[in-house]
Amino acid sequence: MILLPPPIISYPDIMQYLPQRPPMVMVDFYYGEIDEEAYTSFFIKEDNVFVEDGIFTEMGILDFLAQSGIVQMGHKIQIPEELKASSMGVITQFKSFHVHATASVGDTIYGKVKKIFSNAYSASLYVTAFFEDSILIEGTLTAMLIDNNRDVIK
Amino acid sequence: MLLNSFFKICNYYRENDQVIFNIELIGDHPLYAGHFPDRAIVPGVCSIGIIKECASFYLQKSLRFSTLDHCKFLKPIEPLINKSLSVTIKIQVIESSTFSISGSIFSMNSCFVTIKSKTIIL
Repeated sequence: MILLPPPIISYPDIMQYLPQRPPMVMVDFYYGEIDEEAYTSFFIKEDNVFVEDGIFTEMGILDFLAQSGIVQMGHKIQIPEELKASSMGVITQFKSFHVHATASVGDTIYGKVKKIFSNAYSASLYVTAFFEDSILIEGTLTAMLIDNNRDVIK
Repeated sequence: MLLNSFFKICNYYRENDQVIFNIELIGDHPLYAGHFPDRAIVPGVCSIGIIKECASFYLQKSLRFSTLDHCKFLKPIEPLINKSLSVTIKIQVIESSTFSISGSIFSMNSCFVTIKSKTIIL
């Protein structure tokens, strides 16, 4: 894990890039990009909805990575004005994810987001979650802006 | 974690090499306050969690995903509209503690999520 600079976006300001609201906000800090890889972090509290018996499950880490990707997309991609009012960012696909370990209450986990592809409406991102020097989960996700007034994801 | 707080199993049965569960979502779970305030939608990770917990219930073993080879979210699940759902899972034993689990969540007219994964016994 590299030494990160001070965060450029912190909770609660980070919510301007996320449609989620508490108790479903799973990113505390966004550190910006270093060598084309964006970094995030999240402190795991005991009352987190994805904590079970003191363990932050793989579901929680996957959601942290998904939200890390959405924050990175929101920070990098200029959303077309005509879509801003009616759209939201959603994850449409997880691919080739490997779960090596989970995390625990009291841990601060870090996310790394590397863009594989992006345009104004979607992005394919390689994401990795770390705790200290260990990789917890890694894989590729696809995020997309969808029309909030329609329910089919194309 | 999700069973009986986020969803409940109404019944289940085997059909050929699959197990089919009929489930109901519990629409007043506190996470919907944040996902999302204006439109309750099942978080994608919870939909794959439902599939894992149905497999866990059937096998009577606590499971953790080891890989998610492919997981596609085809359509948002809205608990107030899509309260009754079906979950289909196909389980194959890879090793004594590793299972391949393919599954989907669907209703009469729609398929919402499909996954292909491997799980390990905790």
